[in-house]
Amino acid sequence: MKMDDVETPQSWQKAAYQRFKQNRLAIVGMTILGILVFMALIGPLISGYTYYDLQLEMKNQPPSLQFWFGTDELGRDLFTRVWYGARISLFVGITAAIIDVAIGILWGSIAAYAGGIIDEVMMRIADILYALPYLLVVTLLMVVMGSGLIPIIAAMTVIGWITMARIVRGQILQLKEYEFVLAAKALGLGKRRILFRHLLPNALGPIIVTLTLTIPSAIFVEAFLSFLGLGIQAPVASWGTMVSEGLAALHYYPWRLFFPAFFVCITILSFNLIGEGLRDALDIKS
Amino acid sequence: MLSYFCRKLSFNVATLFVIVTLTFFLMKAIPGDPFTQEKALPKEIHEALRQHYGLEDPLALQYVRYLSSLIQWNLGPSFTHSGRTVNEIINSGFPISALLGLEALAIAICLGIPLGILAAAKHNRWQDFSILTATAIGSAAPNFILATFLQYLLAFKLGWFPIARWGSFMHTVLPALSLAIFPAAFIARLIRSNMIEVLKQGYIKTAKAKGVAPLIVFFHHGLRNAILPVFTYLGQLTASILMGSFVVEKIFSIPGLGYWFVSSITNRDYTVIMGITVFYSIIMLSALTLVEIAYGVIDPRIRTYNAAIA
Amino acid sequence: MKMRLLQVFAIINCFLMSGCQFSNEKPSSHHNSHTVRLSIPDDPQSFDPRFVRDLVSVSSIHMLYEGLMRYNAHGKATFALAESVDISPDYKTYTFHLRPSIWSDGEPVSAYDFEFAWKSTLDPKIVAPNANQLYVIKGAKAAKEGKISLDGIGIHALSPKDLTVELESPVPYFLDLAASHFYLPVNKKWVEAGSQTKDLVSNGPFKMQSFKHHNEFVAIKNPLYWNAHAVKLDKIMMQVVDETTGLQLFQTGQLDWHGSPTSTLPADALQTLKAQGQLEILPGAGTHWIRFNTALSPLQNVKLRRALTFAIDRKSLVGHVLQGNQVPALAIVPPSLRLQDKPYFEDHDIPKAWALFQDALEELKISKDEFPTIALCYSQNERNSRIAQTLQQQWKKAFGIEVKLENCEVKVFYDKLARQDYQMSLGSWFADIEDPMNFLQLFQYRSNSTNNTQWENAKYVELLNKSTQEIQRDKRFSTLRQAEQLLIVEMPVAPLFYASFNYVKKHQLKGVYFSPLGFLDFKEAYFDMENEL
Repeated sequence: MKMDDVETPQSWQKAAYQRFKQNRLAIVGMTILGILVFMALIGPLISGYTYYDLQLEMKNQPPSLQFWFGTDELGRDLFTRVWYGARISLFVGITAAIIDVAIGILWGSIAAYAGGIIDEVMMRIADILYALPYLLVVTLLMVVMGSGLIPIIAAMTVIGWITMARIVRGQILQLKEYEFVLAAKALGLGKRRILFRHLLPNALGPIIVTLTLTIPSAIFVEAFLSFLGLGIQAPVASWGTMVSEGLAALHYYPWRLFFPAFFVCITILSFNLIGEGLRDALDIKS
Repeated sequence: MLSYFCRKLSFNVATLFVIVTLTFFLMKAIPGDPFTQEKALPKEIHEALRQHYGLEDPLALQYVRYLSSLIQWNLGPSFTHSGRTVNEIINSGFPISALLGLEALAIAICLGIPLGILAAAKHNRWQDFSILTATAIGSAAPNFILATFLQYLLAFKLGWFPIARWGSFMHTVLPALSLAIFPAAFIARLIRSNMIEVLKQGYIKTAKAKGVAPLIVFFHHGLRNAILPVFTYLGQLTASILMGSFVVEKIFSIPGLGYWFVSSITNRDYTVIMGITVFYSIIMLSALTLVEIAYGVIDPRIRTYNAAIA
Repeated sequence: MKMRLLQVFAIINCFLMSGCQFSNEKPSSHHNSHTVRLSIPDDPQSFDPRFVRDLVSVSSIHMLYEGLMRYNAHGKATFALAESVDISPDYKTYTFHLRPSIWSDGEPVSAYDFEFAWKSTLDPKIVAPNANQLYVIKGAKAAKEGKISLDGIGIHALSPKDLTVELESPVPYFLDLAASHFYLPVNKKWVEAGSQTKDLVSNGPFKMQSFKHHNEFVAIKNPLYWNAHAVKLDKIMMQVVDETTGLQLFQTGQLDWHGSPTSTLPADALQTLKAQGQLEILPGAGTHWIRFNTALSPLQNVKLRRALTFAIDRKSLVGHVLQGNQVPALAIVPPSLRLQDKPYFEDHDIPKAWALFQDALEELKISKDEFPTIALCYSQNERNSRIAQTLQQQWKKAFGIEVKLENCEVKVFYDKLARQDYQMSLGSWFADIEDPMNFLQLFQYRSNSTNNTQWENAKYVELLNKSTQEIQRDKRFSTLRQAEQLLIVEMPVAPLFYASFNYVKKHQLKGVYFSPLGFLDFKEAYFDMENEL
C-alpha cells in the first residue's frame, strides 16, 4: 500500500467497487451473466428459425446440426426458444426480484426500527398477505389485469417481498441494540441516517443471500402460474414453462428439459457468484 | 411475560379474523362456482344446486353463517367431494403432510447448518467454493423438478425407492428430499454469510487470547448470533412445509393435505378453501409467535415486547 | 455440539428406519392374477347412482350396482336383474320381470327399489344432475318441474317382481338406456339412513371393501351377487396417481391398467408406446370442436366460419399433435353412432376455404389487411395448448390472419363460456347415451347451457322435434342426418376430431367391457394366465 493511497481517502462506494472488480468470483459471475444476456439478445436472430413457427413433421428431434438444441413437441427450434425464453425469464426474474427486495427491505427495516405498534401492525399485514391462498389472489389479479408480463410480475411480487421483509426485520431487531447504534444515537444522528447508513449495511449478508435465492423462486413461480393458465400466453414460453413441459418428456425427449434447465442453473449460479462478490465487496467490517 | 402472551394472542386472533374475511370475499369474487363444469349442467339444475347450498343468499348472510360454524370448529362439507367434511379432510391429510414436512425440515436443518458452518470456517477455500456451487444448484432446482428427477432416476430406473404412494419409511425419502433441498441451500447460505461476519469479529481472538477453547467460543457466541435469520426463515417455512406441497404430493401420490390447497381453489370448493386457509393461518401465526419468542431467547438484547410497553 | 447434532440425527434415523411401517400396505410388483389395479386421478365423487357424473364414479358405480340390463363384454345390452321384458308394439310401454336377487344387507331387490330410485331423481325437491336422462319417461319432465305429482310419472311397480315403464314417445333403444347408470336402483333404507359411504348397500358384482380418501378405493367380489359364479376377479383396486407416475407404476408391474377412461396417458409417451406396440386405442363417443360466438363480428358471417373450418388440417393435428389415433372430424356426431353415410366436407380444403374467405371479406366490406385479430380461448392444459398453437399457425398459413390465444384457468373458462364472453373457444362433448340426438340436441336452443354459440335455427329445432316422433330407426336417422347437415352448413361449431381412448393394460387382462361412453365393466373380466407372453 503506497502512501498516496492513504492520503486520498476513497468514498465507501468507490472502495466497494474496487473490491468487487478484484473479486474473482464476481468477475466470473458477471461474465456468465453477460454472455447469457448477449445470447438472449442475439440468439433468436442467428438461428434462422423463429420461436413460433411450427414444423410438425420435425417434432421431438434430438440436437443435430440443423437444430442445435433439438426441437420441441410442435417442431419448433429449441435453440431459438431457449434464448427467446431467456429474455422473458431474465426480465421477469430480475424485475420481480428487485421489486421484492426493495419493498422487503423498506418494509422490514422500518417495522423493526420503529418497533412497538408500528412493527406489530406492519408485520401483521405481511402475515395476512402471506396467509391468503396465493392461487386465489393470483386468479383474481389475472381476471382483473388479463395476461401479460405486467400482471405476472404483479402476481409474483404480491407476496414475494415478505420473506425478505421478515429476514431484514430480524436482523435489524438484533442490530439495533448493538453498541454502535447507541453511539450513533448519542451523537444525535437522525433515525433515517442510522437506519440506512449504519443498520442496513450491517444486515447485508442475509439480504444478499435472500436476494440471490429470490431469483430462482421468481423463475419457477412464473412456471407454476403458467401451468394453471395464469401466465404468459402460448406460443411465448419462458425457461420456467419450458422446464415444466420438458419434465413430462424426461423419459423420451430429455433435451427438452436439459437445455432450459441447464441455463436456468447457470443463470442462478452466476447470480450467486455476483451476490458473493457483492457481499465481500460491501463488507465494511474487513 | 403473561401480558406479552395475551397481547400476541389477541393480535393473532385479530389477524386470523382479517384473513378469514378477506379470503371469504376474495373467493366469492372470482368467476366460477363448485358446479361449473365442462359438461355444463342444465341451467335449472345448476341454480337448484346453488340454492341448495345457500350460494344464492346475500354474501353477508353467507359470511355470518360461515363465521358462526367456524367458531364451533365446524368447517362444513366439501362441495365437490360429496360425503366428506372439511374437518375429515384435514384430519386425515394433515398428519401425513406434517410427517413428511417434519422429515424434510430435519433433513434441511441437519444438512444446511453444518454445511453453512463448514463453508464459513473454510471461507475462500475449496470447501467453501464447492458448498457455494452445491447450494447454487440446490436453489436452482425447485421441489417439482427434484421430485420428478429423483423419482425417475432413483425409483424408476434404479429401483432403490418405491416410485410412489405412502406406507413405509422408504416411501418418505424421495419426497422429503425433494422438499428439503431448497430450504437446505437457503439455510446453509444464511448461516455461512453470518458466520463469516462473526468469525471476523474481535471477540473470537479475545477468547483465544484468554485461553478459552476456540470451538466453544465459535458455537456459543458465534452460532448464537449467526442463527437468527435461520429462525426467521424456518418460522415462515414451517407452516407451508407442514401443510404439504401440492406438486410433490401429486407426483408421489401421497394422500396429504397439499393436494387440497390447489385443487380446492381450482374446483371452487368454498368450504375447503376456507377450512384450509384457517388451519394454515393458525399454524403459521403460532410458528411466527414462537419465532418472536426465540428471538428473545437467542439474543436477550432483542426486546420486541419491551419496546411496545415502553 | 456438531457431534451431538450428528448423534441426534443418527438416533432419529435409526428410529425411523427400524422397519417402521405406517400402514399395512405392501407395495408389491408380484402380480396376483385375481386382482386388478387401475389408476384414477381423483376419488370417485359419489356412490349414489342418481348423483354420479364423472367417469371414475361411473365405472365404480357399474362395479357396485346391477340394474335391469347390463352391457356384456361384447357391448350388447343383456338381461341382468330383469329376466324378461314385454315391449308394446308402439315402443312406448316396457314391462320388466325381475329375477330373484338380494342387496348386500340380505334384503331382496324389488321393483319398488327401481321405482324409488327413478322417482326420487325426478322429485323437484331433490337436486339430481342427471334428471334429464329420465325425461323419455312419460310425465318425467313435468314432475321435475313441479307441474304434476310424482304419481303421474309413467313408472309403476306392479309387484315386487314387475316394473312397468311408460314413455313419452317411442324409444326403440330403451333397453340400452336401462343398462346405463341413470337407471340403476338405489337402496331406500340406505338413503333414508343418510347415504353414508361406509354403510353402502349395493347389489352388484363387487362390493366396497375400503375407501381411503385421495389414496385408494378397493372393491371385492360380492358373494351375494345373483350371478357371482360368473365373476372371476376377487378384487379391484383404484389408486390415485398422476399420469406420469401411473405410467411408471404400470411399467414396473404395479398397475394393471393406466389411461382412459379413468385416467390419462402423458402425451409425450404416446409415440413411444405406440412404437412398442403397448398402446391400446379405442374410438370414443365424443367430438372435439371449436365453438364460434355467432353474435360477435366478424364471426356472425357464415362464410367466414366455414372458411376457418375448411382450412384446418386435421390429419396433421391428430397425427402429430394428438398422436392417439384420433380421427379427424368432418361431422358433429361421432362415427361410432353411425349417423352419417358420407362426410359432409373435406379436411384441409384450402381452395374452398380461400374462396369462402374472399367472399366473407367482401360481405364484411373489409380488406385482408383490415381483418381484425380474433381470439381463441381455451382452458389451460397441455393438450389444449398444443391444439390452439397449431390452429393459430394453420390459420396464419392459410389466410395470413392473426389469431390471438387466450388460455384461461379452468373455471374462469367455463364462466366465460356461459356468459358468451369469447370469440372462438375449444370445446368437446362426450355422449351420455349412444344416440346421435345426444349430440345434436346440444345446439337446439340458444338458451341451452350446452350451446353457448348464440346460434339457433328454426328449421333445426323443427327437424329435431320431428325425429322424436319417429319410431322407425331409418326414418329417424334420416331426419337427424338432415339436422346435422343443416348444422354443418351453418357451422356454429367447427368439428376438429373424434375422441379416442388411449390406455395401456396387461395383455393377460381380458373380458373387460370398455364402453364408448367411457366406463369400464369388470363383471366378466379375468386374467388369462395360460397365454402369458
